[in-house]
Amino acid sequence: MSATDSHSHGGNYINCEKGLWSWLTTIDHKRIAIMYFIAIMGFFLMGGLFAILLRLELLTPEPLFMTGDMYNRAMTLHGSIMVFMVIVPGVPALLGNFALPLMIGAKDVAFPKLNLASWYCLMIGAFIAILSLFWGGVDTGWTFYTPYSARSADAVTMVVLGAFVMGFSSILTGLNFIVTIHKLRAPGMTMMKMPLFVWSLYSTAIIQVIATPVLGITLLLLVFERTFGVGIFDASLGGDPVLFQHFFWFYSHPAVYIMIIPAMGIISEVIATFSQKTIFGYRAIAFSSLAISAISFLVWGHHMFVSGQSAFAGSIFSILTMLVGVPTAIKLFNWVSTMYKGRVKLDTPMLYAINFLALFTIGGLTGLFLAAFNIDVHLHDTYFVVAHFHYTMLGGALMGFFAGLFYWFPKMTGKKYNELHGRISAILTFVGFNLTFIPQFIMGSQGMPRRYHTYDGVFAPFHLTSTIGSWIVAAGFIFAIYIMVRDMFKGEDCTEPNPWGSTTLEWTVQSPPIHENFEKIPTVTGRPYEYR
Amino acid sequence: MGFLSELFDKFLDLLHVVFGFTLPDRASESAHLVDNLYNVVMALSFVGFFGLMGVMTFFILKYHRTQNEKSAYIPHNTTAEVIWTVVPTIIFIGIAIWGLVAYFEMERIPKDAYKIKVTGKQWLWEFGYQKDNLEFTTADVMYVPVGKPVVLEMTSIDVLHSFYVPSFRIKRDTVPGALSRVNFTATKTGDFKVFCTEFCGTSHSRMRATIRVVSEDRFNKWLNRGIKESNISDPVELGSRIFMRNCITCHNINNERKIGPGLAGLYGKERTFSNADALVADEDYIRESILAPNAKIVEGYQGKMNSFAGLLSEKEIGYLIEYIKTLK
Repeated sequence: MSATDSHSHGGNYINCEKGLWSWLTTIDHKRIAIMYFIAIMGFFLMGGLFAILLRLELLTPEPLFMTGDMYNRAMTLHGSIMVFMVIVPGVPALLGNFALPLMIGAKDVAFPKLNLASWYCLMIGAFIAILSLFWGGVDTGWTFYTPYSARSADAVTMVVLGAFVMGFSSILTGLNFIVTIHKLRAPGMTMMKMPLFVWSLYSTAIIQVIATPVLGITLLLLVFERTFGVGIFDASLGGDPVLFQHFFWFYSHPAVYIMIIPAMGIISEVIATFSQKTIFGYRAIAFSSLAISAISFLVWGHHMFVSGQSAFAGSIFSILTMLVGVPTAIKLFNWVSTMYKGRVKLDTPMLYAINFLALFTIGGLTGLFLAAFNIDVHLHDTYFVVAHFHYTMLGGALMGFFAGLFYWFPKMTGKKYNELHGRISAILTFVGFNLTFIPQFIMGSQGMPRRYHTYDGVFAPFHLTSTIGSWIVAAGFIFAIYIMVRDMFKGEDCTEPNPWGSTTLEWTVQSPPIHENFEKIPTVTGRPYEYR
Repeated sequence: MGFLSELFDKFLDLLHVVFGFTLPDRASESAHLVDNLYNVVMALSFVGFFGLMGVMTFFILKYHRTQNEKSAYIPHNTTAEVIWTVVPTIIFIGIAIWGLVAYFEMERIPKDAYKIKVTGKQWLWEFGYQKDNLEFTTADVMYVPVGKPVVLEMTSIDVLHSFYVPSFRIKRDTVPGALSRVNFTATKTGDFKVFCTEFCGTSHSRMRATIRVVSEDRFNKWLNRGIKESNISDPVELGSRIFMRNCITCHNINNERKIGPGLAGLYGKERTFSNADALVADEDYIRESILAPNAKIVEGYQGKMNSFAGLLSEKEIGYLIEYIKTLK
């Protein structure tokens, strides 16, 4: 790929080539990031649409406009789309792709063609999974528990194969990032001089490479089970239905850290920048990411406290789960301490970061209830769990994702977004989010089970509040996406390469960057976040 | 020590008032074991959350860019970091240990616990009772005696289900091909809700049941009746029950006319009809009258009866015929 104009004034990665074909065949990490942006925002709106439909249906205790089967299918699609197509690829594949090479002073990722292949894996997998809608849809929930998933409609095979293909996208991206981080750092940038977002991508990539194949194998076994009746998960054939849960969560618990750790990396960048102060406890934050990714492999059994797993195993998983809380708490303390004696400015990325801090703290603290063995007996599979993981995934991962999108927006597009509008979107999402999910904590503690199409009338007022909240949070996110798309084309030019006064390398180059990122590969001498 | 533990209990009660008010009514002996830790963790969470957010808000206001000219350079602080690593570790591990000790206490099944078999199937709960080698199965409502330990031996015949009683703070998956146990001792009489909490398909949210906690006396009466009813083998007795449920509204068991004719002495007697030839009432005729009542309408009556085809099984019709044969 030649970039003829990029060295002349005004040339950049966006305008160096023209036409749809130049995008679909690009191996420029920044262009691939833009393609992820388009795809992931599309998936996000689709997954969000299902969420709104589900909340609408739950306005009344008895069916409003859906049958039980329709509800179950919408619920499954909401979960599968949000997990496999939005949150897992969201931060690493989109923002990681854009920022990683720039932050370590590299021209691109280590394997640019593999990077493009990852995008196609996601798209092909997503296409297969969404196509299942036209084969009647899938009603197993995104967890595909056997034996239900082994007997349910044919479309299960399609969605499972879709998730299998999307898994390759995740594995290849992780592999690419690990090699990039080890091999392509600019001269002078030792590991301990890497920005924290890079550390978080590194920790994430390790999980992606190690855990995702287990999901792939598990999903293939499920397909074999359905197609040939091999009986691995079927008790009447000598198998064990609970075995599926062990396999599934061996991936899917670390996977929640695939979703949250990179968002934590963004928070580190944003809080340091918008406090204009060196990050507090760089080593602690960097190593706590690694600690979380290591411990995350040892806690899957906390999803199975009431599955029939032995009380001994449950006890061990309970203690190990509590240990994950420690590095998480350390990070929260470090971020708040970073603001101490800083120069805090509440621009949109910082507001989203504060949303993250508040909501993720609640998500983390409610995790303590679920990690405690006996409390979980009461709360397991209730709305308390639903609220808990939305606080970590939507309140944590996606708030971090939006913080990052607004933070790097000027660098990605060369434009400014409307600051006032951005702040309004951040506040709307915060208010709507809490209105949606605080009632769910209350319902859950009262014993409202999850995945219920109809429910006991006593929960009606809470469901009503939650549904109203869902409209506000949807309005907030739709507004945020609208702002970005609008200002990408019509925003004021941002000629200043470093509008936020950041200290990491991506802000030393022009916005948008040239095709090769750097005119000359920089030499790094100091640490990141040297705000003095 | 006695005083201290009493004080601690009082403290836990206070926490329950402040933080545990959203929890369902407690109706089992071990429910408070869940609630105590729940309330403690809730209290700690409130302190943790509002503490952290308070400090953050203070920093944002005090060190806002308009308030602070220059930021300090503080890369780390070992003392602070050691404290905020060690303290959460101790608290978190403490919660875990409390939780698992309480769990083992909840899981201890008393030797004399009363056994009830629970079977999950799409989409209802079945409850099996045993007495003197006789069995009795019922659905949707589980009777249990108050104050007596009960152990549920549970399985599923199709997919995973989970047996959840919020008021008892118990929950356990039922797994096809495996037996799972859960125990409780109900502390008050009344009806308590049961939910299925493991997704099981179309009517998952309708897979609810009731646990009816009654006095031991009433429980025994209920059980004896249930055992008796489901273990009758005399076809005449069974037929009489079916008759009393289905036929008695329109047919007397003596000779008196009701909506339909009285049935005493019917079997073996000649009948005349308004729309068919006369015949001697035999088993085939009675069967036909149940399944196709208007094929032969007894003289002097209007054909008002509806067919019982599909409502009664072949076996039940057999019992019914045996009973009608005995009417004199």
